[in-house]
Amino acid sequence: MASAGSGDEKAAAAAMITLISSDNEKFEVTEATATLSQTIRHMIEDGCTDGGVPLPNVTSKILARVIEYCKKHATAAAGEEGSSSSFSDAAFLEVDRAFLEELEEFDDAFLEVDRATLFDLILAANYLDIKGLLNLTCQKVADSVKGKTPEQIREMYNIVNDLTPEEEAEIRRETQWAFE
Amino acid sequence: MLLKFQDFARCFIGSERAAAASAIKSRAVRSSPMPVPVPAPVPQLPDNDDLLREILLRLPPLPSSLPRASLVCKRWRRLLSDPGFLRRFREHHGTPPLLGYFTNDPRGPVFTPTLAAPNRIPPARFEFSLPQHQQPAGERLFFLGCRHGLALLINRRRLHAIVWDPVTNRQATVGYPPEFTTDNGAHCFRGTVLSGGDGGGGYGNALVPINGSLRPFKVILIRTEINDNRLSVFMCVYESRTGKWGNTISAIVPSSVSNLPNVLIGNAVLCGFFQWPTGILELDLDRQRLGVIETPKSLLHSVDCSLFRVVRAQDGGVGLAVLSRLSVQLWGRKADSGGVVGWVLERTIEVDKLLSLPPSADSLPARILGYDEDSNAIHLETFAGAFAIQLESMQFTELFNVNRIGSYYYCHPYTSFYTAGWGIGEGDDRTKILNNT
Repeated sequence: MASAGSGDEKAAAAAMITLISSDNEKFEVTEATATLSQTIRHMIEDGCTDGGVPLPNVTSKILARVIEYCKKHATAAAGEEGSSSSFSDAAFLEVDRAFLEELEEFDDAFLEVDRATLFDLILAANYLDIKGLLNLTCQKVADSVKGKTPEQIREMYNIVNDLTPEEEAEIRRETQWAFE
Repeated sequence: MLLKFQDFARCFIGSERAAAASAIKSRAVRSSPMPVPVPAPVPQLPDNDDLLREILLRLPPLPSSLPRASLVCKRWRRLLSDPGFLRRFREHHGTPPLLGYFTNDPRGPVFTPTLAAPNRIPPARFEFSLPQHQQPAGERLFFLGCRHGLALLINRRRLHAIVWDPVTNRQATVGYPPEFTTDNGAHCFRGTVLSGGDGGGGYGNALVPINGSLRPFKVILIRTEINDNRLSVFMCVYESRTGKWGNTISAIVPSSVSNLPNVLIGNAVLCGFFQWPTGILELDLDRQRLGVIETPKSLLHSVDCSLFRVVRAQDGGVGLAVLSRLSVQLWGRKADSGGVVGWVLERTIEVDKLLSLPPSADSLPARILGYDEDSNAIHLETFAGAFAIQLESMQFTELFNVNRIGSYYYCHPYTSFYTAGWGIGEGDDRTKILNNT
């Protein structure tokens, strides 16, 4: 990818990475965005990103969402780094809080997806090793079962109850109060 | 931890949402030659233990969370009863929830749950009982306090302390230090406990592990003596890690003291124990030093712990909460330009405004019920109910059943993760011990 051109162009070009989804769609992203993924970071460090990074486990639909997340969070991280030297403490805190609020709003909106997409995002976050995204998506699933009975949880996630009546009775006997 | 993707069933079909519908379309157009199965399945969670664990770790730390999730299926139950998972669950959440209050009663410690159902653990679940062969005949056990999920009791006839984890029901006894037994333990009836925190876990001679193994802990026993209108306070610290009592340390204070619940400030300083109109005690566990902290001069506080408590100040150091009718003053210590440390009033909480109490409540003063040092929350009982107020965020939650707490003067908030007591091999430890000994 890096070919002839001025030094600046070269640097900019060198900082771009091509990600290739399972359905062969190509996504060009900055290195800062891509390296939110530890998996890709290691590939870059090992110098095996020439010609693009194939991600056979991630569809274009999911990869587009993952990149959207990484772009936002990479920008926020860069903004925080940049601001620390140029603002007074109070201004810095103010900027910091604004960033965090914006990021939180982004995350909330980002999670407005159907369950199938949410599960695909968890798988992708795990495969690509993006800690923030894994935390966010797993928390969303955990929150969804908050206050639910075992029956409701099974129904929500299509889980078959394979506990024997004896096992079920044992748990209920030990912690009857938890099912009131 | 790469995944086995073939294990994961992609189920876009049948979802009511537009996003899913478009996913089906694009999928169908692009690659899928498979016929669409009917009826449409509900999306399934990733078929991967690591990922299920990541999800289950993030369940709320409330007592009903894990028992309920354990009843979903065998796989969840297996993941949730793994000790490694339970340790990570505690680490992930950090701050244990308040489960209720323990009070001292002639029958032993009595638990009153302050959470609402389904997180209300019944008092019987936290009933203290010794293994059968050690059941004392007519011996009364005194409950002295709790911290880090551990409770401390003493047997004044046998002259030993008992450290008890009510959640796992594991217990250990520690004989009194020799200096405290000379008068047959007559002047030793106070103490406190904390978890050792720094790993280890070896058991020494002074300690008899009754059943299972308990986390490393420290016990502090206190003995008092009145001489010439002065009170001598002696403290001795036991460490389960070494299995030894330290040297007895002492301080002299006025004789007109009253009890004040001690609060852990930082990792190794306990403040409180006793209060008198001008001071409280401070025990530095690292330096093995017992000292006096003078309380604010402008504040001739009441020597009544329903109006006066040690709390953690904004800087994490020692602070004081002083209640007057419906207003709580929060004091902290700061060094002035000359380096002299003095008390400053940091904040005042107008309880009636914060809790939006009806005006009629004004005639009824509030009282301090307790202080939860894990959450940094003060517990107040008011005309309109009892509340825990977190001192940084000022967020408050209601405490239930508070009117059932036996004695407000000797009640201790109990915080712990409920990560035991159900499922595989996590049953009653009392049976285990009988088999083992």
